[in-house]
Amino acid sequence: MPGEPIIIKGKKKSGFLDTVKELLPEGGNLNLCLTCGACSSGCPATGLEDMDPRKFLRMAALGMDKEILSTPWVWMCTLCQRCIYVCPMQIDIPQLVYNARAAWPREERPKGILGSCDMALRNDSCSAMGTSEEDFQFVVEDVLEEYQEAQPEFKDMAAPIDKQGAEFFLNQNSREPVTEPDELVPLWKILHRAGVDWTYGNKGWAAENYCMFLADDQAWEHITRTTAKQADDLGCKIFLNTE
Amino acid sequence: MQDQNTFKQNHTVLVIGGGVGGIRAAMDLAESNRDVVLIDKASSIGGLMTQLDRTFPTNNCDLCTLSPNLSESSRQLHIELLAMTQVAEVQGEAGDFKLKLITEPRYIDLDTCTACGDCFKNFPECVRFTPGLDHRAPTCMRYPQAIPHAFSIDIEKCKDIDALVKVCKADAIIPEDTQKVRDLEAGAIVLAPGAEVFDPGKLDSLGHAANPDVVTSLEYERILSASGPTQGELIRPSDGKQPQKIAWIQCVGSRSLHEGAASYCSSACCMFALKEAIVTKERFQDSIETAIFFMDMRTFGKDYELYLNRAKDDYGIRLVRSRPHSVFHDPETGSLSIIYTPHDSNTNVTEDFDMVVLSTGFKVSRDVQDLAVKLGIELNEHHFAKTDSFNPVATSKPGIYACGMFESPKDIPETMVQASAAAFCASKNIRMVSESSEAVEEFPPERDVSREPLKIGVFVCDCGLNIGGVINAQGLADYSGTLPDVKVSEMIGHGCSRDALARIQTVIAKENLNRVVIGGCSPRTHETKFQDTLRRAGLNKYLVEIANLRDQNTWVHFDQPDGASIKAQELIRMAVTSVALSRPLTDNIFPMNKDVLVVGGGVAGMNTALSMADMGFKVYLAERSSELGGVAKKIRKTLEGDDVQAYMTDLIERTTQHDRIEVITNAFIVDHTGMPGMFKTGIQIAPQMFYRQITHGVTILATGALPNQPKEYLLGEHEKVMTQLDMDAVIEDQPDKIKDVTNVVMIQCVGSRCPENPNCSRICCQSAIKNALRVLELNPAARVFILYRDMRTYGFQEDYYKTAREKGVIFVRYEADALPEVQADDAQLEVKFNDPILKRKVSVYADCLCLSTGFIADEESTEDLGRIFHIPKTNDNYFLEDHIKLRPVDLSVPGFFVAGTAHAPKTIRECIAQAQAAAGRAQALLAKDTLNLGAVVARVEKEKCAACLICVRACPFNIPFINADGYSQIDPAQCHGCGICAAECPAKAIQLMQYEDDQIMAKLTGLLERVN
Repeated sequence: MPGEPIIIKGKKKSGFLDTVKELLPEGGNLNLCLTCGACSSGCPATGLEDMDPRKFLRMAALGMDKEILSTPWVWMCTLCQRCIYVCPMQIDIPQLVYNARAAWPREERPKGILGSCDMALRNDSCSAMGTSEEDFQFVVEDVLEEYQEAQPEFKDMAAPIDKQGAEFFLNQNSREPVTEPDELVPLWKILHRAGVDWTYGNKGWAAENYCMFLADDQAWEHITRTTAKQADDLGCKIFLNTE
Repeated sequence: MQDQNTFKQNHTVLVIGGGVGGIRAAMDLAESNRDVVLIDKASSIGGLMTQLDRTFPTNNCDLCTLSPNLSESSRQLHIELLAMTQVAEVQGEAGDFKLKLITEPRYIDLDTCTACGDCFKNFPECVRFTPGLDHRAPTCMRYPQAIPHAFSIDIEKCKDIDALVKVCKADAIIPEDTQKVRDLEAGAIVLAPGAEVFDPGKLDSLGHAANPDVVTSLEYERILSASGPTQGELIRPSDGKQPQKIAWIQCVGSRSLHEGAASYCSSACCMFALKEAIVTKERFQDSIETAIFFMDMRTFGKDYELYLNRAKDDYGIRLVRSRPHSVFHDPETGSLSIIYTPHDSNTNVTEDFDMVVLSTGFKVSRDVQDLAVKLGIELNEHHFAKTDSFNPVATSKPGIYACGMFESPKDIPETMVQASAAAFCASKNIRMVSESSEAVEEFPPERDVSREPLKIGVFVCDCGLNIGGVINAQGLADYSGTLPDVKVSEMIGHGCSRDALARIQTVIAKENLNRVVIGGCSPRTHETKFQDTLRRAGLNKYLVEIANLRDQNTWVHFDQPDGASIKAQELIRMAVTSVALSRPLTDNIFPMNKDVLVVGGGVAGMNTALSMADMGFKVYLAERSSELGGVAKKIRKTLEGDDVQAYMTDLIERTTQHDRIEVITNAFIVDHTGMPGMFKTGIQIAPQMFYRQITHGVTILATGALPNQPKEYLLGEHEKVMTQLDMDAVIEDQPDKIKDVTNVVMIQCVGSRCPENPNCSRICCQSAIKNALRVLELNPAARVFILYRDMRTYGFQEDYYKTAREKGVIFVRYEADALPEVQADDAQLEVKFNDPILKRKVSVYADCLCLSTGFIADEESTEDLGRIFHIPKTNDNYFLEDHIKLRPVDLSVPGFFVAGTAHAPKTIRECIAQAQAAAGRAQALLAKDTLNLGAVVARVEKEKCAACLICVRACPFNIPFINADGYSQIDPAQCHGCGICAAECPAKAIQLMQYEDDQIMAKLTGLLERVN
């Protein structure tokens, strides 16, 4: 209970912070906090759920595992890394938050993120919208054709999928092909004008990885491996992550 | 100047770096008759300090405190100064270094350049200047008193060299000048290369590179400085408006693991931020708001806590314990927005400021690291010179010593201490040049002015803006010219600069002046300089009078220029009427006693005694208790892990065995008379209390401080409550006890930073961390809590603070008004405190409560000795040094020096440095074979004396006595010249030389009578 004193008595027990330290290089510097507040002053989630990054780390340091493993605040963190960017001790607070998320039972994690991750696992597109490989291909070809006709200066523009040996492998947030297909085009135009040899992948074209935000290690690894393998199979040299 | 034979080879010390530390070291060596070559890579000496506006804690103008030091260093006969010079090669060893020095071409002959500025006026692109905010200052020599006082030419940038050469009336430009290589043999080397400031560009979230209104502290100093780019006007760089709200952000580039930043604490930044904020507030009072964002406020130096309290309570400077994430610029309003999380909250606050000052820390430059490689000395992991805890200024290579910032980040007083220590250690490697063989500046014979009609010259300084910014200095000079008997009256700018002094000398000769009035600053700091000028002009040095226009007028009445102008005229009038009655006087000269009395046999006292004895001086070491050792004898380990006991055993052994040290234990000082070079001190020795008198030339006070034992938190009542000093012993003697503990709590600032003992005890943060780490080493499963107000692990101590956190020590902050609470039953202690971040109470059941009780002054000692020796004390009963910034080892009574914790709390390492510094300062004083006591003494006219005994009773030094002939006799060798007897004598039989009644009356006449 917030009003009650924290009682420290008897031998120290290994806790959540120690477990996470084991996982990270240099222990993520998790013990080094100077409590300066730089993290909190730059954190978009400060004040939500009466929590902030410094307080979260402090609770972990004092062994308040029950509280930090149940606070919904970990899902409000965007893992943006603004905290570690300025932290004088380079403390990996995002990893601490990530591991706290991972400690939640999967089914109790926030519905939106959970649903998006599950969608991505439905087929090899890895799209959080659940879009299939065929639907993606149809939209790309349809939009490209439309622009080649309407804007003659771009009649030679290409938007290839699975082009073997292309230099760049490009992925794509799956919201555009589903809800705003015209938004795909500006990047194509830039790449065209720059004379870049690029391709989408039929598999793993979706750029977002909600499974990572869900802290579902197996699932996000599957998604990342799917898209990376596609780029490798096509013989692409550079992976252009647009997310 | 390039003539090598002027130096007695191997008697020379090479001092590298001409900042305050290097200047101090060079002057100490020169004063103790050693030859010095002082080199600096810049075109003038002075280092970082000359770029500062003012210094804490007196908030004096920096140039004013520094310039006497600067010009002395060029005047000293033993010092050869080489600007624009660096070390190219080093060979050999202690006592016999062979060096190659490279001097870059200046293209200007130092002997002929008058620094008139014509070259700069006509060809600004060819004349070198210091870049940064300092650009294009009027003289372009960085500051008006620059030494060497000459420009330098950037020949690469010069298109028409012939035209440039022609523009110089003095013919000083030498376009064919070349790089000079010079061989030097030296017995020892002192490294004082200083540090560079951190470039905050990499921390892009603070916006230094992107926004002109985000400045570093050094840039802010330049903006405030009268010799800076804005002539001292505080304006915002972006739009020239005066800022109304300024924020400081601390620890920029320090205490950080960011790439390029330093993980140590830069030690000086908290104080300079407070100073900058106070100076800003002093100037603009309520029209400006100031806030300092900080992590820990590290005011650990002597009386610095009081300065912090003044900043908060008297000046209303807001201290915000929080590190802001970013500084955002609002292009609409031009203001800088800072979002921060207050220390005890988790709601962010947004606040707008007009300017942001980044308190950037210090690091060792690449150049200096390369120099270290050349010299073959080891550096520590932070690239500072590696030295030993018990030999703090000695580098890894014998004969090479380091001081100041290069040893560790530090402020000016500590740099001065180390500089004197390094100079002393260096002097051990070389022989003293005997006094008879040295060249003494020959003054012309004194002119007899007794029959001449009065011809008074008045010279008015503007002292930059110090005087000239408040009153019209030229107008005052014009007015002075109308006073009776004034032959010449001139405004001379900075009167203490080399040019101005030369000008005064010339005018005296040309106009045949016989009295001089200087309208300037304090005679306390500058009188000698003007007296020397009179001597060079063939006048007796007592024919000058200084009107203190600055300290007593423009500084105190800066906000009332009209009144100050009238007062300035009155001060000048007083000086003119008084100087008219001044008479030539002769200094009293006596032989020097070279024995040394050291009071106090702790680590500082023994180190001073051994240092002096090793140099050949006879030392009396008086210790009050029955054995040597002091507090250090109880300490087992240093933070760095050194064995203090082994060191102390050896130190005591060496002290007691030394041929030239006489240790007197059970010794109580009971009386004292005399002057430096001829002191007499009476000692009573227990248990019989027999009396013994010692005659000596200098006295070093090393009487220490006491471990504090405040009656708080059950100390002395519960067996599980102890001090850090007790804990130190338990860890060494009863390690099994430590292996059994589960929870240990330490409380900081017990009996320090409180109303009874307001200052910080300096050593407690590091001793808590030392003991916490040792507990965890013996018992890694233990939990250690350190409850603190500010963690003050300055310098490299920060590394250990970091290690302690790494090992799991939990640090919890408490407020002075919400102290931890302790409850106990027989078996256990319950320590309750508040965690400010969680805003929750924490209750720890502890097996051990360790109190960081620090030091308290040994009031009994300082009270008694202060009275006997007439040494002033601070409010908390430590001895008060002569100048807290520039003379931290000298006491205000000449011939007295202080070392160790009698001065202020400090670590063993710092005590040893100060002990060596005291030895160095003492050695300098004892270098002369004779003593000049000046001429200001009381003189009795026996015919008028009624033998009434009033002077005998009034004299605080017990000098006058009624002699066999029935009148009062005052020994000029003992008289302090205070003037009390002269004031008290009802028959007016006593006159104080230089301050005779008619001269004082004349001053009053000048003040009170209107002059037509």
